[in-house]
Amino acid sequence: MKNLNKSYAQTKVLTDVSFAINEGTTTSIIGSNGSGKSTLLRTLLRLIEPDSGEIHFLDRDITKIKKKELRKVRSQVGFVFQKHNLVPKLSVLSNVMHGKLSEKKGPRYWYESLAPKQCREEAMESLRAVGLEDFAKRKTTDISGGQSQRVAIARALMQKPKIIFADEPVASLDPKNGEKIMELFYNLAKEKNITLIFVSHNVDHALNYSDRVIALNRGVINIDKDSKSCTKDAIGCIYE
Amino acid sequence: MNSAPHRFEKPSILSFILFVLFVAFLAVSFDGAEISLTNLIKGIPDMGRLVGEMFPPSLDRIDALSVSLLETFEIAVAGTAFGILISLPLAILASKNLSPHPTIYYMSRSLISFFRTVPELIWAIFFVASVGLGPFAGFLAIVVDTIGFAGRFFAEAMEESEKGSQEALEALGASKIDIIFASVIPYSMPSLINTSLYALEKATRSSVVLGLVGAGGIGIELKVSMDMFRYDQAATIIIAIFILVLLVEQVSSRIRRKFIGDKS
Repeated sequence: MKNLNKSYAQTKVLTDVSFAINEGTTTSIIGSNGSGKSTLLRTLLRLIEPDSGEIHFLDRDITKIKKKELRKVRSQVGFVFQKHNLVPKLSVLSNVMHGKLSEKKGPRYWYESLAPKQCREEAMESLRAVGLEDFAKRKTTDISGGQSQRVAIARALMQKPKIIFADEPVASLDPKNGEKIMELFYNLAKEKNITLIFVSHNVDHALNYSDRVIALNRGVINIDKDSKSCTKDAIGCIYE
Repeated sequence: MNSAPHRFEKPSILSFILFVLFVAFLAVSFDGAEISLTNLIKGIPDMGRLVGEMFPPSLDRIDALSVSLLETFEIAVAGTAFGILISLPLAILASKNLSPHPTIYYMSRSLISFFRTVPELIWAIFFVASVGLGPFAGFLAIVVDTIGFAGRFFAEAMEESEKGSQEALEALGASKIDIIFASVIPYSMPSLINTSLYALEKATRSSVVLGLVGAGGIGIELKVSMDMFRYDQAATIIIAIFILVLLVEQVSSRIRRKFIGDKS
């Protein structure tokens, strides 16, 4: 990513943000509220259009590709949101299968009842990876916040992603469940050689579950260090 | 220390003027409607005589009336089903967040508003004049009326659907059609079912009236009975209509409870 800029009206949210990330590594982005973390993550997939700058991954300049090509890129990138963003009225299995939506046109991945057997089995495998294979038939409204976030991870795994972006994935969970989800994220990323970039407010999570820590302050990179060379105090100061 | 704020905010001059104008128009409206207590009291004996002549209801033509009642219900069911089928894609085009282009959005909205603004009886007269007397004209009138009613509420339900899951599907590369069918429609489903059931209830009531202008169903039977002063037969028809509407409302309430959990 090179010289990425984004403003809302007169407010600059990202100013000349530049960094490069190695394949298969985990990176945390930390910073106080309004520092531009979530905007940064969304601009990487052009869910928010950047004003200027370059974004390169999966052998493409993301800022220059057309919609169809962008959809192809998105299909290889998992995105886990703070509030899981599952479809509330559908089953867990249907939601996991949505990870395949970009693969083929037509209704086969809209609902589990229309899906081919192979896809259903793949979805069950993803659910097994997050420990929820017994919840396939449940409605997403009947499971807890932690379980919902696991389903969102299973949906991302369904894409067989090369990269996963996670925007404060444990912010709405209690500390114990938050720890479990971060551990799951980290282990899956390492096991499947997925590049993981996650946004967090939790300094401990940044130090324990990422190889590299990037701290944003008012849209500008303040700290960019290997997590092993960071101390809690050194990166915690950005919240002061 | 600040004192407690006033119970009511002082109205602006404009809101005060508007309020006074509204009250004045309300008073004029009572006058325009020629509301007369004297005429109401004078009419009570005639009402009593009419009701007296209605009882006991006559069962002379119960076979023919049953066929007409069934035809009325068939017009309502077929018209509602077809209307809902057309309303769904039209509502997608008429939803601000889903419409492919602002011009298409405004055109779809305008079409739905036009269908809704013209009363179903006028549509029935129009279709009787264009396709002839009979249930087909009634069916067409119900279709158009259902589109006007369901199209608007479907579009509003889709506009209010939860945005988080739509963003998640967009992020994983889903197309707009995928997002509509995999997220917007499932989320809006309770509202769509609810609106469809109301549309059926409304169509059942409307299809009774459509017969008055020759658009099929039991309405024409009611008109003939009233014109021939056979109030006993008219009573049978009114009771039959009442039972039909009540049954439809009961069944739709049960369906609503099953799918939506509505306790009303």
